[in-house]
Amino acid sequence: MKNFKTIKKAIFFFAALLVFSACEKDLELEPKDDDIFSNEKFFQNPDSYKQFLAKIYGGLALTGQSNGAGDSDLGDPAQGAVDEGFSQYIRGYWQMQELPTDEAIIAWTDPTLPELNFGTWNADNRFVESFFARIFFQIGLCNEYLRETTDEKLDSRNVTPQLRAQIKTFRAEVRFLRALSYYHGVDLFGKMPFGTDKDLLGTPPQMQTRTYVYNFIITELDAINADLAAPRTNEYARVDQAAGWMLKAKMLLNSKVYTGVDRSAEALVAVNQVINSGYTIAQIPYADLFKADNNSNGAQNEIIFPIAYDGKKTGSFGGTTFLIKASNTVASGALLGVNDGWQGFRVRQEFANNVGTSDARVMYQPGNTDPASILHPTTATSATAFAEGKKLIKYSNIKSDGSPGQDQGFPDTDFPMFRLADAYLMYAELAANGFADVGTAVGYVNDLRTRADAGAPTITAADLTPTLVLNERAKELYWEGHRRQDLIRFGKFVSGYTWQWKGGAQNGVDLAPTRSIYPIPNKEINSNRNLTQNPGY
Amino acid sequence: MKTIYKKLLFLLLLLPLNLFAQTLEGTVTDKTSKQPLPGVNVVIKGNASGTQTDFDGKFKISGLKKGDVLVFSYLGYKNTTLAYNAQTNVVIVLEEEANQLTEVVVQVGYGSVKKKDATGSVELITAKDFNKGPITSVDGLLNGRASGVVVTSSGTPGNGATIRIRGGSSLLASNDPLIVIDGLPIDGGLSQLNPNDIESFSILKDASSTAIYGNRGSNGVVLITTKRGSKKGIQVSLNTFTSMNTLAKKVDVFSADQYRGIVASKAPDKIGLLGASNTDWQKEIFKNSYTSDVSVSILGNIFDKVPARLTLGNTDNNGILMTSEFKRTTASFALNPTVWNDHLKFNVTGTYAYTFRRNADEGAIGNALGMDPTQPVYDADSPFAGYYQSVNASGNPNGVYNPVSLLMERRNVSDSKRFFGNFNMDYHVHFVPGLHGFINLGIDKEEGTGTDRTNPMSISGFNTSLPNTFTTAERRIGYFGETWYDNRNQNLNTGFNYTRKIGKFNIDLLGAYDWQQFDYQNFNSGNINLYYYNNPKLYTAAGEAEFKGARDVYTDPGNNLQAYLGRLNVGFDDKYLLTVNFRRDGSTRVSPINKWENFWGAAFAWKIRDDFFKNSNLVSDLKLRLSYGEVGQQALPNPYAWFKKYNVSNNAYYQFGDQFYLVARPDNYNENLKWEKSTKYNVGLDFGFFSNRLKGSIDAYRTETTDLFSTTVLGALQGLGIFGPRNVGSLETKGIDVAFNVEAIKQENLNVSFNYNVTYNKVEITDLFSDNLTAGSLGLNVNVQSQKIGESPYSFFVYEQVYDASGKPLQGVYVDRDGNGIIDSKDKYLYKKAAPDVTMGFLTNVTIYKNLDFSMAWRASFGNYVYDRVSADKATLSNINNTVNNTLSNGTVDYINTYFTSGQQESDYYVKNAAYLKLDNVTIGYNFSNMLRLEKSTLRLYGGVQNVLTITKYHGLDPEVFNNGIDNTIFPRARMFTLGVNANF
Repeated sequence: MKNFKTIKKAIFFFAALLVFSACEKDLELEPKDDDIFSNEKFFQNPDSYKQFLAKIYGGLALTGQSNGAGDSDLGDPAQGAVDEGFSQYIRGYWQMQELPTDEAIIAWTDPTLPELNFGTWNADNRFVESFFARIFFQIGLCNEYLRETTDEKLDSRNVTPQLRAQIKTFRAEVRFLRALSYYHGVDLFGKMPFGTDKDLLGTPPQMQTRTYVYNFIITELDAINADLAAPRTNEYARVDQAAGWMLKAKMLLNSKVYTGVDRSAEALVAVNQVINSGYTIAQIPYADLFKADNNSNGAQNEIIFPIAYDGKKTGSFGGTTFLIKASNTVASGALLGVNDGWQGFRVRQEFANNVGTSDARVMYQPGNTDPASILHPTTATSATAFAEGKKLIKYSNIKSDGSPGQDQGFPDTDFPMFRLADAYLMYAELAANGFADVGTAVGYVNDLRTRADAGAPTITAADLTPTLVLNERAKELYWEGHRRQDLIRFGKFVSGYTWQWKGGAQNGVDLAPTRSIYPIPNKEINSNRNLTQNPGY
Repeated sequence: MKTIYKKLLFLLLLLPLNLFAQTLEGTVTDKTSKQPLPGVNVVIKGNASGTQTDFDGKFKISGLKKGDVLVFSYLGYKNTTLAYNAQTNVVIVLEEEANQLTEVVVQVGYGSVKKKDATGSVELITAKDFNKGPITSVDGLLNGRASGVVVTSSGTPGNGATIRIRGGSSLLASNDPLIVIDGLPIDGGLSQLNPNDIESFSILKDASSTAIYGNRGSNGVVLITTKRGSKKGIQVSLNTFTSMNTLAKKVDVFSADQYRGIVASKAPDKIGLLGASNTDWQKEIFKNSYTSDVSVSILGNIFDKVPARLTLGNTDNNGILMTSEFKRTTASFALNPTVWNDHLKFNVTGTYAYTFRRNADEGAIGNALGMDPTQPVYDADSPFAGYYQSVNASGNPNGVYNPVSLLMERRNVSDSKRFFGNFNMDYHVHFVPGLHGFINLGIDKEEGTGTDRTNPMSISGFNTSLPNTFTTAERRIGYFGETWYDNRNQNLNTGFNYTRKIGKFNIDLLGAYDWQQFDYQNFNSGNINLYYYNNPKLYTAAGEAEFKGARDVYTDPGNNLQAYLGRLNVGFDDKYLLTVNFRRDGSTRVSPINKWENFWGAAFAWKIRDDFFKNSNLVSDLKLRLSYGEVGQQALPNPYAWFKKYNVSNNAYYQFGDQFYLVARPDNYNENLKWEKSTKYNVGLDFGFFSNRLKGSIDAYRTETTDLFSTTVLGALQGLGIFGPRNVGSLETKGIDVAFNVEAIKQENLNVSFNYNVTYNKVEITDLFSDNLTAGSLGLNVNVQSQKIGESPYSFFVYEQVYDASGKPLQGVYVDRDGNGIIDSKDKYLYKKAAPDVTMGFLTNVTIYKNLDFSMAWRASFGNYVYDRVSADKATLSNINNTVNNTLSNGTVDYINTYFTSGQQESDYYVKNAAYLKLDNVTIGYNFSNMLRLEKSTLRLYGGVQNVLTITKYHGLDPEVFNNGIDNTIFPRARMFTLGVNANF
């Protein structure tokens, strides 16, 4: 009997094993750090929807989760990620739209950067690669935002009706921002990997043609129009219907390039919507449009979609920090309210000749006597290279009253992604091509000249030719990230016009026709078997 | 968990406590120690009743009849019988069962098995196989001693080694084997363990053995058993050595005079920058250093009942790089009491270690190679604490920073306190023969703190990254930072084991439950001086807020692992053995979709000898083993890989209207992330000839690992980030392990034995999401390795260099392999690989006249290539003549082979054959057997050299590199000259 009892005890002993089933909840992962929020916890905070929205807008201005630099969105350079500041969205977009043209040349020798100056990039170009990554980082954020704000999810979180109404607008803005990044992709890369919030994260996306993505953007812009805020009714730096029309106008104006189909007539409708939206040509000195207080000095009436910077709260080594510092020496930077000069870009002599020196919009650096001609486009010491070439001014960290911005390291200056003057010139272009009223167009061109107190005489109907419009765009919109797109649309990018160091030769040579779009980075093709390369690479 | 511990305690109380026998006349003693033996069973043959001896070995038994036979039995001792002949008082002497003690037992995880009955590929390394010489780390005992086990040790004192069993199973996740010390799986290295505590290593290599560790078994398992107490009298063992550490080899850079010549011919405009000194910068930073190590171990039997061991150890290991120090003090114990007539056994082990280290700035090594040799170390006029430094026009230091200053002006110290221990209780259930229940409770707790200071007046204390508004004087900020960490690992494991013999079948069944929790917390202050140094420009309210934001303690969510496991061993006729393992594993690292996973393994062994060579003297052992198993890996470096979470910035905002909103970023996640899973096959043959004087084993193995995981480039729209975790592909490993032990000469006055092992290992990527996953990053977009399907991991991926008629590489001229007229990354090709094809270890022990011993350990590696990054970076004119900041730097002498004007890092020129043969150790000792005039005492004096010789074609510092074959400057492994004493009494 004793034997039996002991067995019973033993059985009881091992039955204790069952107790451990209770421990299975230890396997549930829960953040223990005060700075890390699980999905559920994050969305309990009503501000979260706007903080996430701020990240998506901020993705065009910042580079990571730290003001200035740090915790890069594109990963740790130790893992082989691109440099954080180099990869900033505006900086990347700007470099790809400006450096291969007559409007800019950069003096630095960072590997693969000179190839952008020359139009000789290959599919390993790290600046092409990093901007490609930025575009899709933005699109990925937008998709995730839309996944997290479906009616079902909002129902499950018991979101209040007031907040739901706001979220409806947020969602439309996020779809706008997604369309914007796809537009940048269509413009620079043609075909590309494509995915929306309907696709699951973790599955390699399919490649879609340029026309497919083009049509998607147009459809999206039409679909969200009603949900976007009416023009000029939204908070500063958030987009409204005018931004939607502007983006649509840009798509339609470039339709021939993107899809082979001319849609100028439709473009005119969209341009007119922008022009009549309530934004006005700011009657302030032209230079003030690009100053530290351009969010409040009147420029905000003209800038339809700014990328907002703040010296204390929103800074990066791209954006207007780059645009101001890289076009200056330390000394000339000091005059523009920044504490450094990176001696990077200036314009080529053909551009300087085209825009001349008499138009007040083309602002030369004071005391600039440098030769226009560039003999050493890039040398090991960028100072030597930078000494050559005409140096302009565009952006400044000085306010319109002459006082400096909040911080000398990071300017307060906002970058105008879209501004009304561009729409005026788009109208003029349509008119010069016979799609819009010439008289109105002449008025628009003259409005801009007058506002700038340009010193240049006003034009007449006879003057309004495509060539004049292209040159007018150069004067009004230089260094705003339009030049490559404009040259392509006017048929002057790969051939029909050359400039110094185009194609890598001092006097310039034509580029292969396939150079009007960039290659899909090899790194991307290597990570997704669905992707194929653009012709010529 | 607290409640579980309480429940267990409660259960303990329920165990029977009343089983001590009555006393009768007589004493039972041990034959050798003459100590009384408690708990000896005393029964009358043919009669169920009986008694046991008490604590003093005494017993009393009544009701005996003349002619009765008394049987005395005690575990591990031969049974003794006594014919009762009306004696009144007897002394019974029990003798230890010889073969019981010599039977080799290997640990197999959650239990042990006799080596002869092992079915899996398990290698046992005991004291006689250990490396000799000045070993300060546990991994040093093992290096080269086991087939298929590659240990790459670090030159930095106190840094852990990399251990690879059969090359590991993973591509980009961890390839570290699981380490289990006395039943406690640990995390965080072995550097705090005293090598003198180690009794043996059991290395589980095939999946049938490691399947019992399921999701942690894919890279093999190293089971470490520490020494236990003795049932005999007190034994004291003293081990001490002192070694002098010297630099074995220098990197060949230009001497001052050679350098003057190079500058004169290649950068004549810089002649004015040359100095008048002749400085060998490597000589300035590497100094001979000394290591001393003392360890005292006391084995005894407390109150004659509790076998115990106490070891105290102290190691003081100064590295050869100036300012490098490592000190370790350890105290460890083992208690192995048994009660209730051996029914309840305890094994309690614990180690407390205090380590102190001063981390030398290893960046100084690279600087010593690059520093202009014509400049002096010291300069009385230098503004930087008296060290020579080149400066720019503003007085800021530029060029290469003086390496001596980097070392001497920085003090980066850390200390850690670690305790790990395991409480094991094994209850042999009364009256149910063969049934055991066991519990392991383990803890591993480590706390560390560190401070890092750099003199503000020194070169590296000068802050060049402050805005231009700071004057030269204001940039003297220095560095002061504090760090701490707190790691905890708790383990609970309980189960039962049942063995039974039914006819010709031997059955052994195990069932257990495992629970383990890891927690981590750490803190890094950053540079406190940057915010608080006495400078009004630095101290701002915003700066302080930012600083406080950065001074944030990070708390890891930790990792919880749970498992249910079982093992069945069936033996038939003691010749055919079958093992089946099963384990069901859960981990917090995997998303709920894939949280639990089952792993299993099976093995079969056939003792061929017993069927065919039963009485053969020639064939003393022959056993065939076959095994199959599935194991996994959960060691994802990111605890949140699958988890949706948000990072809310504390200082980056975006403006909407007048309001600024902190930006919140959704972090990348992958809910589909699966366990990495390995399927392993193994065929092995254990053999022994000539009474096992020649014995060994051959194993052929194949491993397929699927769903390899990695944090890698995700590509557009495949994740929320550019890098993220994903399952990337599959890998196949094939190889052959061979191990031999030969007792070549076994005579009265001469013993010669060899231990030789060789492994052929081939790893191939069989599937990958990418056609070319770059690796071997040398910085911005320069990569020299790639992962490709059909190739070895980390194969070099470079341009094919074109050479001129004289054999000199032509700068920037590469073969246009795709023939499209453009040289771009599509022209890169695979050229050699980092992993060796064959590795070998050879150890010989010779004993002459019983007292003089000699030992020598060799190691070799073939088929491994190294990328010489030191020359790729430094042997170019652009490095020597730095035109960006107008300074001069030295380079390796490889420059005269290329005269490259700028870096050609992606050329195959820098991929070099790094096969090597190393003589790791030579030791000679002499045993003074009765010097101490104590019974059984021994005294051995020895001397030796460690890291004696390296034979290789490779011109770099050391062909044995980390970083998957990229040779960047490493802390050189010292050559050590040692004198030591082992005393036992």
